[in-house]
Amino acid sequence: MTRHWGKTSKRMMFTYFVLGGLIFLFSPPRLTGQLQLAYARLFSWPLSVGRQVTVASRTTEAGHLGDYPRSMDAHRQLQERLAALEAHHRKLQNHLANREAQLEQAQNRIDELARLRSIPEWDRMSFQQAGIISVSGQGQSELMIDRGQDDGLAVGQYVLGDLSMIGVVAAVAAQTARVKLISDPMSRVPVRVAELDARGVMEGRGAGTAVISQVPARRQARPGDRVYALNAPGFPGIPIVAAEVVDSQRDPDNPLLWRIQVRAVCDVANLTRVAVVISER
Amino acid sequence: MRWLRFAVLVLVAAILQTTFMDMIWILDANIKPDLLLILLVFFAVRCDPTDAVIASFVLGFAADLASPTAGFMGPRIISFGVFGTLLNDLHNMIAIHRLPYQGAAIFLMGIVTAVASHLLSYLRADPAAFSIARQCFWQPALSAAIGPFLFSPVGWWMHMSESRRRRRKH
Repeated sequence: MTRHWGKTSKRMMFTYFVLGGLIFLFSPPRLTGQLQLAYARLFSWPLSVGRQVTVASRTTEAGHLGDYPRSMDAHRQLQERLAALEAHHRKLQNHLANREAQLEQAQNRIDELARLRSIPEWDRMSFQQAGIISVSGQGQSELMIDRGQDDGLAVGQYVLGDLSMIGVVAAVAAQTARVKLISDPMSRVPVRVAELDARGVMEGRGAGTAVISQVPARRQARPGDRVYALNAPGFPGIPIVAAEVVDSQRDPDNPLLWRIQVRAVCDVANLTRVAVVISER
Repeated sequence: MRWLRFAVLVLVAAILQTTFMDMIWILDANIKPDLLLILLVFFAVRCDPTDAVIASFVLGFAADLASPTAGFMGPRIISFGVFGTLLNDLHNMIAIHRLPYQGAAIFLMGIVTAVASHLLSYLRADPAAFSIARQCFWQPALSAAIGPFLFSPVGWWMHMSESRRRRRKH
């Protein structure tokens, strides 16, 4: 093989490879995405095992092998319990935020239609649980998951983590899928800032952050205000919390509008499983 | 060049890069050593010119495959390939044998490949926010600190020791 390559000059080989790189660069993401999905599927076992070990190492202190004094062991157990409680608290906060939005929506319906539909909105959803194979992309803004077309997944479906909206299915293969997180620079999600009752499009900025530009609002959003993902094709039509406001400033081009910086409410780095919203029942 | 060993090495490095490397970070969870960058410098300074070209582009392909940039491939294939080839040419003029020089080579390659990948990403879409401190300093610096110490085990695995290369050149 080396002898055969030896016949081609280094310069020609370099040119061929650069051309190959350019072909990859300008290929449709659908094609290159299939390659990435095939890689994730082929090596799903080592990738998911590695991921689980990494997540486990983050939640436990390194090097605790029973040689520490008793006080250190108690300290570690307390820290583990604290971490578990914090994760549970975050989950409950997101659940509460979702419920508040549903309650507000239900009250509006009562006022407007004078009748109440008592079907809980979440019951109308159908979920597909999926394990995370790997986190990739610049700023950790994409996930590979171990469910695909065979499990009913399709491009555009919303993905939930810790009961909050974390991203959208971007590409699917038979048994794997790629999820584009809301912080991905290519991500565009219609959202509503609850406290302002203002709508906009949330654009990812990497590293768990995003920006909502040109928001028409009378007052400034406060840090901690909830941001809800709105309807999208195939989505059951209820708001689900996605992010919280970090900062807001007036738009330099149009002072009547606001530019709001937000942060995802879900810590993707510590997630091992997600749920994909499949369709309305 | 033992290509089967090379394929296994690249595959293992790509898998480790997206899994266990998340455990080795400083200051920020996104700052971690780049194994494929370390391998790029290794093969650029230890291989024959033709093998170095192939190895550089294959490592770029693996980097794009394991950790895609905004959903598309290509930026790292080109940046790894071009700068790996350049480093190989440079190595034929300036020997990079000592550990500090190898570390410096990894550091510089980390910077230029990060900048080149980011600029190439502009050809397709608005890329992710570029953190100069993280991508142009901390990540290459961490890779440079660890990289030279990985050269010996990688050389042993690839049967490419420094002394053997020197003998072949003479």
